[in-house]
Amino acid sequence: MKSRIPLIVTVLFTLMVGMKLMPPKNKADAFPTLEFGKLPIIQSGRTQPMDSLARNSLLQLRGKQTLNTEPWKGTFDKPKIISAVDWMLEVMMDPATADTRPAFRIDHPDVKGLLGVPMTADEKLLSDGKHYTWNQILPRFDALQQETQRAFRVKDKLRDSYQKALVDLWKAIRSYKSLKVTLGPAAGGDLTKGLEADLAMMKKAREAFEAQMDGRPGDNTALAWFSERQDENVALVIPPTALTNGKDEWTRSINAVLAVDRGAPPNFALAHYAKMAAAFKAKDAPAFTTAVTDYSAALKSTGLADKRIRKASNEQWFNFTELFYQGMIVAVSAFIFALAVWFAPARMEWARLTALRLTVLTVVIIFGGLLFRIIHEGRPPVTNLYSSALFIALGASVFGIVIEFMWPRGIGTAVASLMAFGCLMVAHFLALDGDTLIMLQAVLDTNFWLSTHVVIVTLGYASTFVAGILGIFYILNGVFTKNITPEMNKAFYGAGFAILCFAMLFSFVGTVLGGIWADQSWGRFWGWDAKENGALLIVIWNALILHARLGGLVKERGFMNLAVAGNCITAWSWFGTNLLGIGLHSYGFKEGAFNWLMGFIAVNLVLIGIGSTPKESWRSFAKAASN
Amino acid sequence: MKKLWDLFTSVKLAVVLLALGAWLVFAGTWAQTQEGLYLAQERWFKSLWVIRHAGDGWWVLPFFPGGYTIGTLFLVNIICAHTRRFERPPGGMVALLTHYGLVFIALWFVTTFLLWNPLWLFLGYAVLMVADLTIWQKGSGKKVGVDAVHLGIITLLVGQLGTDLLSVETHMSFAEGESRNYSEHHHDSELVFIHDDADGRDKVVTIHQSLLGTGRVLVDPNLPFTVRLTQSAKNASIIERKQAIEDLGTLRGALATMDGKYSSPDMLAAEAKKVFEEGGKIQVWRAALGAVGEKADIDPVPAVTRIASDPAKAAKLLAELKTRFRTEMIDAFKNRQSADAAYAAETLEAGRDITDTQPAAAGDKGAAQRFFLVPRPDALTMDERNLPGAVIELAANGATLGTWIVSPMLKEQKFEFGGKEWRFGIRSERFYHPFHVTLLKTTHEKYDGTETPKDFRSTVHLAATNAAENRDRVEISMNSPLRYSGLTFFQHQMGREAANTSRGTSTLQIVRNPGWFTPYYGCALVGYGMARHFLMHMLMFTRRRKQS
Repeated sequence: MKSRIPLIVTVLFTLMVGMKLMPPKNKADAFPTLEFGKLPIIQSGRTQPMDSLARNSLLQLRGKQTLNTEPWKGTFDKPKIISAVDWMLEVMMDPATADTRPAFRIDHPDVKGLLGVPMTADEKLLSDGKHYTWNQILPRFDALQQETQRAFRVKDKLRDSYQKALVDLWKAIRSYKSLKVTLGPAAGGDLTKGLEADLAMMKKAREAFEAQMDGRPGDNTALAWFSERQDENVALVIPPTALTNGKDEWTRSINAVLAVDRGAPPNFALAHYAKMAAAFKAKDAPAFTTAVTDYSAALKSTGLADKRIRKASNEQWFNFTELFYQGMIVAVSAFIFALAVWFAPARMEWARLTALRLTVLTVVIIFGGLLFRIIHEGRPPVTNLYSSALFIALGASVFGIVIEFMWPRGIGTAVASLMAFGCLMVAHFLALDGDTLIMLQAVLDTNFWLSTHVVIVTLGYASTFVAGILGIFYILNGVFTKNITPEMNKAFYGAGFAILCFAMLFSFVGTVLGGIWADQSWGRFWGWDAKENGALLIVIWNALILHARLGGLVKERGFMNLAVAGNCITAWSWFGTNLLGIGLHSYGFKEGAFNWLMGFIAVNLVLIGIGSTPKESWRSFAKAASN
Repeated sequence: MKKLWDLFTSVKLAVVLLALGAWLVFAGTWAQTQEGLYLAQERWFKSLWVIRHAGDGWWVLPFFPGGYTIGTLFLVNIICAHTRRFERPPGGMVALLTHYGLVFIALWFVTTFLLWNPLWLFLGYAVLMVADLTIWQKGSGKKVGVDAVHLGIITLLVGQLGTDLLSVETHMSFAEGESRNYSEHHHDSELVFIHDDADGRDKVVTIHQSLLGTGRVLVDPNLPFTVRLTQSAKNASIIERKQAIEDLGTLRGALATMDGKYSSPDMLAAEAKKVFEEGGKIQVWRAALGAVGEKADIDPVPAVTRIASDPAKAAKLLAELKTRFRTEMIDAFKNRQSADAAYAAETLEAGRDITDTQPAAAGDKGAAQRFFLVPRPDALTMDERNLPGAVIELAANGATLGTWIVSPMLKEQKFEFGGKEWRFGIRSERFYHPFHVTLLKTTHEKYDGTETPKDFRSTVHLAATNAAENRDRVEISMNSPLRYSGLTFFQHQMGREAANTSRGTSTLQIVRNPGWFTPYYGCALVGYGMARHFLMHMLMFTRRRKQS
């Protein structure tokens, strides 16, 4: 029976993941919004489905991909939770309802004070003290605007928590307003009326602009109306009907209005979106479905959007698989089995095998997810901090599995599954920032360097971490258990040394390729930039460990302690250098990340402290030492 | 002596140096947050030692070896260790030297000729590795890997030193259609005197900024007059007297109005209410409340009302508010883009005044009649640069010609001497090249519907002055520079002309670095050596496993 466990468990987990790979279906009783979520648009410079726009907008507003419409209710009171697309449909087509949804998360007490919203949870006021509606923000909008303008004048690294909260809220509001105007004249459900109103506004805006040019006072509301619709944040929803300069140029709805103003017939998409809006308002599900299907067909018949339709639909499917979240569950299960091995190594071969299989499944999942991203973006695997976390999860778990095959003692799988889980977790938090498939700045727009320097240096991080986690397991086992038998000792030391050699190689080659890239694009090989220095630190540290071992300055325990210190250095290099907010790589600044980083470093330092206790106090070596 | 030799050949020293190096890199990175990238580099990495000064961050130890010291010791350590551990190979010296020669020379060739073809480069290394390991199996060259790594490190260290000493970075800025035969230094400036020569070309006499010390008298055979520096600063603001006086007046007026506003406790509650409801400097209010010992609540009004009824506390609050708003106003002035306003704010803070005679006029000619010079501390960040300023007195035959003020912020000034018109001023140090570069077109693509740059590209025409070279439509873009006559041209910045936004402008960075190849070869050596060493160990490891 025991021999069957690994297979059964693995099959169960595979089924769990496999279920999620099925294309999503509309719930029978809900509004059929999945088809709408599939529609292609362009936002942040890339083709994406409405679904991604909705998810990323909601992430920006409240850090989650769903909306709890009754947050004051406890989890067991079954608050009504709606999907991102459901919410976005309301914002776009029924803003009056959307304005009553508690979609804005506000945590800073001073900001709450400024807005005069309930400070704490109060069921009578229908508030949980954290989430607020647009209608709650609106009365004190002018005050908020004034304070925010002041906050924006402070350089972003120097802003205090209040100013940061203001700026974040302002960005969320900007997103929200942009969503409201995305469909332009179609939003109301009656295109003729919508166009009439918009053209009238346009006329006013034009007059106001001319007045401003002449130095006369103009109608500022009309100008604001126009610039709000032209905002970079507003998605491009209007497809082209013909190529311009050989390009299929999508535009914002305001451009479609401008075209009508110039005498062209309204773009076909406007009428379809208007039909959707009308059906949505009337809660007419079949009409809504027809409108979406009609638009999809019309879009396809232009013959210009096939690739974008496919891309958007693929991405929507990928959003629904939540693949990396599945990976996290499998990885943590694998880790639990791997830990079980250590309690009774002799009798737990089945647990070791289960852990190993689950870790392989984790690798397959992460690899699959990364592969989708690679094909979808047409980019090498690592393009931003988020994908570097995914890639480290993959690299480290592969290294761990190789170690498991070379030294089959349950060490490799434990390292692999823990690293996979940890890094996927990091990725999960990084994803809260919004779009993870964001386009690359010009200097990064080179697949050659992204696939060599970035990939190899990330493998360097992964392998250094693997050595460090091995070190942690060695210390914990050695000090607190009798698990480190002479044989285990040899396995740990052998595996640690082997992985460190690879770490040395990858981190050096990766760092140097980065230098060569810099030489290619800026004309200097080495500029002592913060991120470059971080990578160099890893190289120096790995060299130090290898030389200390070579010179006999350290034996097993010292080696492992140094490897654990490598964790701190790698983490600092990976995140800390970005947090310093200096240099060329200072992207992705996150406030919370700093505390996490410090916590991680502190834990590792404590472990080094434990690992530095004399040999007699290590349970594994107590007898040997006293002999 | 023996002990010293033991020390320099020991692995222990290597470990200590690596540890010192790790701390240096770590601290040198932190230092950038305070000192800026450029100065931190000079202080930490391009130096012999680092000494703690007052005001330094926690990362600066009282004394620490600098990059050059650690680097040099590293070199000594590596060379000594290798010398000491050298063993006569069992296969004889000839076999050994042949093997080493093969590997290092082949590496050089592969790296040089296949550098721009990554796939072939990699294949080249792989073929070399197979050959190398096959020979090793036959008994020679066990240490090729380690030796290659260390030789590579030496190459990298020496190469970096060479780059530090020899490379020159300049840039060339132009608008579409313009031509340049010179580039300008990033940081350094020069004082120039220009006059038209008989053949209609400009004759330029340049004096590098490093020669501009206060009190110096500069004599040049090409100048018919001497230049005495009555005042000079590496970095200076040029202040327009009239504007500064006006700004000082404005600031004083604003402060007086504010003082009046916060003179009586009666207005406190009303003002607090206004600030809270309409949005104002609520944070200033809160801080002031905190300073008088009141808990700064979300709504400051109740606390303020309480205080207003207690005269002593109210007076204290008024004083606090005054000082805080005063600081805010002065800071706001300092942060304005105008140097005049900043100077006015500083003068006010220091309790001084600006008048028609104070500070005294810098000189009697040209811009000196309207402007004066204020020395500033060195620029710290990458996007700032030092703007040197000086007051110069020109003299000929023992008679003074007048005193001028010069700065890159001022236009060229003119004066007549000896029947010629001389133009002069401070500008970025120029490097003239034996070729002209013409900017034909700039391409600045953005992603659809965003401001995120997708592609920067300059199309240029390059023509050598001696007509030996005439390249048309050369594309220079991010990640693909142009290499020509020992120089490398990189796409640096891109913009639009202020006066005519349809005309694109571009800045190319031009680097002369004779040692540019050393990192490539150094890296090839280290990368190859490491891979080779680990592969060899893996082969031995698997063989041993098979045997047991």
